[in-house]
Amino acid sequence: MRLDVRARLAVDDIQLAVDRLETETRGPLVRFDRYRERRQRTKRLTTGALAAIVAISALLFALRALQPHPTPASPTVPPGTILYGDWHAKAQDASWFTISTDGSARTDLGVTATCATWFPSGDRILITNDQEFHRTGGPLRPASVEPDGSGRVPLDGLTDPLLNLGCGDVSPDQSELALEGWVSHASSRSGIYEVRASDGSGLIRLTHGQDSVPEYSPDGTQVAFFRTKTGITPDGSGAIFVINTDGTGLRRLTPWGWTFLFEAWSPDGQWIAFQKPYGELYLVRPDGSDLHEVPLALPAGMGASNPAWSPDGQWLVFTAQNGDVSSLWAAHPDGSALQQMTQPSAVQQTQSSWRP
Amino acid sequence: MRERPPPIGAAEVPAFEDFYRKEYRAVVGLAYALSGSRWAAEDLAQDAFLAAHDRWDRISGYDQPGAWVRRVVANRSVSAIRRRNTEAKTMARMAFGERPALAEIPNDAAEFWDAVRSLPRRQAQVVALHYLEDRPIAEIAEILGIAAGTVKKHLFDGRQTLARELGLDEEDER
Repeated sequence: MRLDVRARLAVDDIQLAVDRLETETRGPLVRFDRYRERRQRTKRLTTGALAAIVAISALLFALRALQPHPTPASPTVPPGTILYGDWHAKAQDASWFTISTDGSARTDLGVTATCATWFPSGDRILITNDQEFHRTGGPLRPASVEPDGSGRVPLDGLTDPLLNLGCGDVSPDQSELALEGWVSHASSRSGIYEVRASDGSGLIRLTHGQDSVPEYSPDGTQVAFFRTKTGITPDGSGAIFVINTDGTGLRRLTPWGWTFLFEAWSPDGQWIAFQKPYGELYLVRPDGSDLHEVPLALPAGMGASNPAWSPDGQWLVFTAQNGDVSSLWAAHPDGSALQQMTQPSAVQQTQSSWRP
Repeated sequence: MRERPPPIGAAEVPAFEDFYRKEYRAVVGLAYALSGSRWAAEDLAQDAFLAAHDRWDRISGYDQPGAWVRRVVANRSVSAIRRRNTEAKTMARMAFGERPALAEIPNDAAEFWDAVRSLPRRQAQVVALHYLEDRPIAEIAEILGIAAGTVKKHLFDGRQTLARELGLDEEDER
């Protein structure tokens, strides 16, 4: 076949898809108005949130000045540090922050990355090295940074010039990384890979598929991950899978179409938390049994995503989102003791993890 | 046979609504071809239209306001990592009930556009504009803000690479 003929067929398919979009959505102007309203609302909320933060800070400062020995509030959620990311719609990447579980001490790490998660020791953070990707043109590799975002160490020992290594996790003994891998224009190379945590070399392939965001089981013998494929509903959704780190025992834990991206393995290894469309948190055991919803009495219009466990396994922290406004919340795995941890901000938050 | 589009930017400056209606399909299509994400393509296009809307007093005075919007989309769409990020962000929004914008396209077409996106950035932009809208070299140069000779070179190189990668005959049928 000639290139130009193939190109015209491909163009026709795009035009058909756009035609269907126009037909199904009452015309493009309606969608533009809705998009504009959403962006304007985001802008208003950003302004409002900033004003609220300034006002609250001033109030707290005044109260502290008036009370020389204030009694510190004792948070219901145990003390700890959460790592989370804010998506930037325009730049289309995430900035990473740490924050105390009482909502204080929010720290901008100065790190831009697709994903970030704690090393099990809690003394370093695994990130995708987007900065180097943009500087060199790729491929994407992992890196690690100190908890304050400094001391970036590229883990770029892999010499494959095409394979991108993205989001992932550090094995409990900190010897290996499990990472999603893909090659542009070669879907056959997509899957979960392991490399050495010391330098990012020693590539081992674990899975073959459109697989993302792997996470090790607490004993390090298994990896849970998100898999998607074409033709499932809702579009872009997938299922949670688990595979043994020796490459055996691949199994699907959830029905297709039941999850989007990040899953989280409980510290005792008994549960995997994940986000179901649309905005519901679910738990499932690693053998696929006991699949059930975490009943969260969130305010109307809010959905939950990006679950992470507290180190003692007694709490789930997650993003609650309403449109483009997000905040961190926490609850027990049975949905009780639901509470808001951070003030809403006009961003879409992504992956969160509790410092071990 | 596809109808060839009119030259970008007629002599008469349109109202924004007319401009939007006229350009919407082509700009969403371009965003999809270059981003590869049917979830994020419309956001990329809407963002560019919104930018044009906010500056319409100025943009409407341009000879080719359509070129301005296409340039914004083209420059924001091409990057493997950006595509990955855009998808993750858009999927997060989908999780709360907002539907994806574009229908799935057949595997053959998806493979073709994957190959286009795997070209160097400028080549991918030139090839996408060449095929999607059948634009002449001079208009592609105007959209991307580069010399016509550079467009020719990118188009030549891009088509050669595509033909090789896809196992096709690169000979021009015209």
